[in-house]
Amino acid sequence: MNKKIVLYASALMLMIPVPGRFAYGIILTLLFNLVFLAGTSFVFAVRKYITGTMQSVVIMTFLIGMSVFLKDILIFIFPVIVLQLGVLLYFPALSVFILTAVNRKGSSTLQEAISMNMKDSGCFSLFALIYMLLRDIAGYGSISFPGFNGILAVQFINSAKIPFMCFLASLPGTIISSTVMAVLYIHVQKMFTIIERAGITDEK
Amino acid sequence: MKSDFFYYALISSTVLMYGLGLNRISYMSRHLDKYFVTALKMYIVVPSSSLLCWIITDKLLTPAGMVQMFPFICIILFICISACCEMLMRMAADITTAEFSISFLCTLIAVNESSTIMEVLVISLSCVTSLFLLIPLIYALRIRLSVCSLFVEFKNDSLIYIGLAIFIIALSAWNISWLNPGVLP
Repeated sequence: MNKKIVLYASALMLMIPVPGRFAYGIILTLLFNLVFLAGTSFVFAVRKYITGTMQSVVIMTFLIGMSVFLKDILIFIFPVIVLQLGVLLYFPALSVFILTAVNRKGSSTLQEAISMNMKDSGCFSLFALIYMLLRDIAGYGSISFPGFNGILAVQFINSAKIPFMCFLASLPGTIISSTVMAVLYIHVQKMFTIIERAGITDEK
Repeated sequence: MKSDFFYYALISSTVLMYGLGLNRISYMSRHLDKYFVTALKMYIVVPSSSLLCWIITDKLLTPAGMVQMFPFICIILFICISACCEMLMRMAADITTAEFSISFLCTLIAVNESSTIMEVLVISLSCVTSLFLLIPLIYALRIRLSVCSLFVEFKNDSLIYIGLAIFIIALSAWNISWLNPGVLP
């Protein structure tokens, strides 16, 4: 489980350079899932015919091609957001999470491969969406959603009046707050392990 | 050109501000054994693939109205040049996934953000420079932290990331510093 958390945390790094709005999180998560789904299906289709180093090259080319295609579709639906995200839309295709997961062996049917990979992708998406929602609330005091003319934000705190919120919305603020969250998570996990061990000792 | 170079290498470092390889830089800074070989390889592959991709985008894709396709052309060219470079430098090392992604994203940024052929060259070189300026700094920080007695919670790369955030603040501080001639004419 810990290895999975590390992998999620590493994949979550692709959300850090993105402006801390929930709307951008939704778009990137959607793109991530679609690229992941297409990548899994593609790997399953070609794994018998292309092997070795060539397989990684073909997979990467396919994932980038898929990102180009999906970006073109997204331009029609959310043109302003796609313009704002720019090159960041190609980041999910090259994330360690996708490259590791699509190459995973152990499934005999396509359905099995998709259900196994999409379960991981769903967990990551949940993590990423909660993370982006927290960033939006803490940094801008709003919840935003993607719209045709940009983002639609529901403002409930005036973040300009609170300097600490402006820091949280910035890039260094995001890195520091994410790191602090990770450290707190490890600390809480350690505490739970101690309590668990103590419980076992008492039972004995 | 000089301002472009310093902008992408330091002030708006591609690693720190664009977040390109933010997670991979921590992995790449663990050992400096292959630092110079990797640097040499990236200094050859990234500018050459960026240049070729920019020429194809400018001369073929733009007139055909297919600019959106440039990442696809970019990855094909990048893989070909990278493979040639690997064959020539077989003695050195195999290309890692981290290195591949960072190099490719550098190429994408260089092609995406430039309007002239000289700009492509300068931006691609400064992207690679920003990466290789940061690796020794993080390596030094890692060594310094390994000497300290830290809490278990901080024993993973947590403090490295906080260090990266401090680097960003330090580099951005110049924009609001009174020493900046833009502030005090």
